[in-house]
Amino acid sequence: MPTKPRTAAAPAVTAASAARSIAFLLSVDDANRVSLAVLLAATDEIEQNSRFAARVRAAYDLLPPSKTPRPARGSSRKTDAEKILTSSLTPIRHVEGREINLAAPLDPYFLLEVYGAHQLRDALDLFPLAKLKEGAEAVMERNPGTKPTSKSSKAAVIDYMVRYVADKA
Amino acid sequence: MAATVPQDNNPPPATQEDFEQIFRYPTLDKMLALHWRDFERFIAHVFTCAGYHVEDVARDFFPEGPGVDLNLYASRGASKPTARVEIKRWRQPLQLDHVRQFIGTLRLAGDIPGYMVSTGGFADRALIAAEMASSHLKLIDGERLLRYIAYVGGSRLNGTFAGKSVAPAQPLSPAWLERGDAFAQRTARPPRATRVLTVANIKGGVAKTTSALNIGLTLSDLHHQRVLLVDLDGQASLTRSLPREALPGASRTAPPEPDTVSVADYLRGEAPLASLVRPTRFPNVWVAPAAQDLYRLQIAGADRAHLELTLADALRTLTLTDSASGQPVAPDWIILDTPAGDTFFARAALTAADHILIPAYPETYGAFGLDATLQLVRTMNALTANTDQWRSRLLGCVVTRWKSGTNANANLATLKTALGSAGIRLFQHLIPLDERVETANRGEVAGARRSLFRLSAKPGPAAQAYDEVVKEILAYAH
Repeated sequence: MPTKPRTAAAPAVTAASAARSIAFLLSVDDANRVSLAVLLAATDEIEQNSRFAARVRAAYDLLPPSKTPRPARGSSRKTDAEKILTSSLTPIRHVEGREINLAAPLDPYFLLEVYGAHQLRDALDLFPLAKLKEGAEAVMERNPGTKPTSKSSKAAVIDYMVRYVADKA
Repeated sequence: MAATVPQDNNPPPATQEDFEQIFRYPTLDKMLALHWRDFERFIAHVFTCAGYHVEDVARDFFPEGPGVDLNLYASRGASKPTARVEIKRWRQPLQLDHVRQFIGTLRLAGDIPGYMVSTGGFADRALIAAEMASSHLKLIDGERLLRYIAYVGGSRLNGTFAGKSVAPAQPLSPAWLERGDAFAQRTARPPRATRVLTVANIKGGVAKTTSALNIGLTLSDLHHQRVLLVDLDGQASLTRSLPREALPGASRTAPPEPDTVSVADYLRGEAPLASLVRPTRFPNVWVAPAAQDLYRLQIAGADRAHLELTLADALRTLTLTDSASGQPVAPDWIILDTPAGDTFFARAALTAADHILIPAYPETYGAFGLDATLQLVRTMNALTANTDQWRSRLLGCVVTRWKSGTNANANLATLKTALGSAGIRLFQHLIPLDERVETANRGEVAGARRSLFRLSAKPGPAAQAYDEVVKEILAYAH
């Protein structure tokens, strides 16, 4: 039996590999079952044995933090549609006489008129990148020699439009 | 005619396109911005679109001071005018003297009734004088003029085809607005307790019937409301989804018995509307059934306003028969399912509505239909209320048959912005594409008693969505 204390700083230590080691040491096959057995035994030992508890705590402190699990789609993360429908954007004026045309290119100047400079960024953020690029084309036409820093980044395209539409307004 | 609004002396005349712009979105400011000659021409254009043959006589008979500006004839060949019109494009209200002079002019000019159009309205004493001479003179102030323009603009039918006039046999008179006001007052909520919800969209295939049905079932099943669904569509899909109770002793698998009467019978004068209402296989849900005949009962013309108001009145005051007592009872909700298109039935249903819901499918062609639907809502609002009230009964749009995708998401964002800019709500919950809807439809048509909400222990996505939509409806509807 090895006497050298095991360390959590050893490279690529995982719960699974540690469980396999224990299973080997105890000459058992089921690593998952031995994991649970170790946890149950360790729970009792931590309650009664402060030195053991200190060792567990020391090993915990040496381990790198776990990655934050990404929330599953459909749980707390909003879909694009939900983001659009529940956005708190409030029109600052009504515009009469404009046809509802979903095929028309995005018009950031119209968004400015409807939502104001203070909400323009949020209004643009509702749209996918492909649609935002249409809006950027209109702004580039009005501001020759300018363009977004990156046309493949939604944030960059929005920044560009906000700068030349809202900030110049 | 004194022009009290400062103007160039000789501006270029307004064009037909200018007039169409005013027709589409009438405002007093736009009319006051016209030169007074153009304003007279515009008013003549409005009466022409209403079906009158219009004669401009401003400089023929009374070139100085107040006089007759237009003669209105019911048809081109008529020998005598139906009415005479004086037009004032002023900011200030007309005073008693103006009205008295016009009454005198009308008496001198053959004692034919007249309309006095004044963008600035009328002083109180002028109103009293007109009331005393009501058989001779009707006043049209700025707001009434806007209503007339909005209603005529969305109702006009003129021109000829194959040598026959397509115009109404009788013109649309401004008097219909008074009848509209009387209808609104007579059927006001309160004291009427029943709420009328109209589900409408000129575009077909956007889930109007599915929405009307499932909103009705949600209200009855989950909110314990008494719901009467009225099928105004000759396609009769709603009727088929709510078949009659099985006859005693009938086989469980036997198809439901078809209806033998329908709303068409009421429109032909063969039965009162309330007598056509029958129970369905769902508790607290009744239906006034439709039949294919409704397709052939397309009504247009001046009688249109009369019939729209008559049907709207009948719909708003529709009752059920309590099965225990046999007495008429008012439902909590009447839901009107309308056909696609700018039809008599959709128009009457919009007039009857306390609340209007527009199911919308966020794709290119669907949005064009949405535009036309909103115009129709404005048109029918003008028959019974001021033009600035046109949004007041509109609950908003609810997206239906939703399936996410790049185009769909972009269209949804555009729709949200477009509706927001027009002051119209987009419901926060959308109805997803869900095969269970078809499962429920097939079952309901075959006579099953399981609605979309009862197909399984846990309601599917569309059922949950309709539940949320109804919660929004109840929150928005006062």
